Amino acid sequence: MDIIKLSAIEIAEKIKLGDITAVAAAKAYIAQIKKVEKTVNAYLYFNEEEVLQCAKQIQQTIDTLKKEGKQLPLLAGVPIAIKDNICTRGTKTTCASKILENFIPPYDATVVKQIKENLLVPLGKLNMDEFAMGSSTEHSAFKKTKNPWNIDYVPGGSSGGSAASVAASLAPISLGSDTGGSIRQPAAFCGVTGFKPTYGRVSRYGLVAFASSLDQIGPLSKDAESCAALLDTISCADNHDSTSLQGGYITTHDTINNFKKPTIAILKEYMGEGISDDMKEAVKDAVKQFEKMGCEVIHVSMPSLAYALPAYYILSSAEASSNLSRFDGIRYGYRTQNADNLEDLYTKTRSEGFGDEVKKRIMLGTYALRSGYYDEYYTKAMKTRSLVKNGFDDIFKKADMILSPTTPSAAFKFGEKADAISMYKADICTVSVNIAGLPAVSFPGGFNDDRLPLGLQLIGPNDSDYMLLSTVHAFQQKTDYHKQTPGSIS
Amino acid sequence: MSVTKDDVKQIAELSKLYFNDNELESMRKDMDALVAFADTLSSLDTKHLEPLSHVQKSENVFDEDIEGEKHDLQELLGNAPESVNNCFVVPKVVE
Repeated sequence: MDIIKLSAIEIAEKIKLGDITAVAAAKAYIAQIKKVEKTVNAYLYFNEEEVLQCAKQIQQTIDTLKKEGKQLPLLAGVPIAIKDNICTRGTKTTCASKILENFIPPYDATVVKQIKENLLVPLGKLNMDEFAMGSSTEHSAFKKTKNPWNIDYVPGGSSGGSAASVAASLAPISLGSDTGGSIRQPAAFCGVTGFKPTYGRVSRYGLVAFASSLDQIGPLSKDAESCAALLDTISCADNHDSTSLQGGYITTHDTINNFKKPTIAILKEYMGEGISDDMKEAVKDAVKQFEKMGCEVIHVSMPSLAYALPAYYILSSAEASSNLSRFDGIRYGYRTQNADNLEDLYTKTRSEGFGDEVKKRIMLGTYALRSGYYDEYYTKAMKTRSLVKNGFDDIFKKADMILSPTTPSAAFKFGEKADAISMYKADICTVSVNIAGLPAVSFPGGFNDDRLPLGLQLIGPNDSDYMLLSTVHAFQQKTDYHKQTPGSIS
Repeated sequence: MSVTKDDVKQIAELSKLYFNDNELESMRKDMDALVAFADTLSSLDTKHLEPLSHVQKSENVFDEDIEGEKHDLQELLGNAPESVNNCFVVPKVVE
């Protein structure tokens, strides 16, 4: 049996049945990491001994639970890789930044606690754009992660390592974070399924903050069913995060087969200028498939979407400039070696520690927040946020969910989007979701002529997470895009 | 509104960042493009809209007043660039 060809949920089933052990699963991924990681560069931290030791301990717990006749957690024994902006006690968490190069968190993020309590086996930490700012993972201070479908292309970002690791079978499932599309866009580029939960469903405690009102942790895996299992594993009310929902939402794994033939809306604005022809074709093919499955498809327009992208960049940069003010070289992180006084220490530490893209966002955020300009930019962007949210509310009166491309086109080549604005436009279909706090999923919907994956997105109203995942699950029962894998990588 | 070198210098000071002359000009160009992009919002009529800072309804969550988890002091100080006697060391502030 080739374990790395199985989905995360299939691995969990086999471990439950005793067909394989958590140790065997870990060993299979370790072997694949040894084989192709040098080409893909998905991991920032991987320690074989630690993984094996953890897998052995977890298998013992699984054996004990089985003997006692107790139920195993959904993903017991399954290996998982974690984006490097999620704190792991005792293991470096760098955010792919020089300023946190040697940072060892003294605590686990709530999601890490959840995956440990639910007996998953952490494989390591994954590469990303520095502080999750970027759409290609080219902004990592440490390495360039390659797209497993074609190593001349970027894996997307900022959760590039999270998507590439799943696509190259370097992990069956991973955790990413999504502030403006950072789970969905790389999932689309790498041909995997990535889910951004309703804001507040997953605790942000221990996620290094980029833009707190937009950030949300979520799962990436080969299929929707595995994503649902991980989402249920990590969803919880958390006293450490004042924005975490206090429950009341519907679980997604036990409802995965409840496909209810939803009414699906196609947004005119996400099918127009700037969207590649092959992407439009993929949407049209999916429409045909959904109609065959009994869904009604309607066509709608939301003119305010044109303003979502500039509003997003103002809001996210403003929040980032505030959040990143904590990096001052005093209590943790990098400190400059040649400061004359305290002020000098702050400035030199930050100038030497942050990369160019992070500095750009801090500068833009400070520009928007400074006295005299606050109303013109920040307040204006917050009002635009209301407009975008109202626009979505209106559409969800007529339809259960929205279908769109996840990205304007398939993955681009390294260095292709050199100027900031053209890179930012790669996020045009995803940022509106974060502004409105909605759940959304990216799933494989075809390939272009160069055999690069094309990702499609379903967006739903708040707390429709279960509906989105069951709809993608039904789609994945009828299609095999999600089962295709890149050719051999070596 | 176009961004000048003086704007960049002022914002860099507020952001506690330093740019040399070459970096300053490159940052000015980038910011000029970004601000022009942000300015596309100015044509939008938002008079009737309330600013939305956060998508969630704020609800008070009450908690028992009991001691929470503690962090290990040495683990915390282990990340400090410099520490002495369980204190963070900073450059001299008062002459």
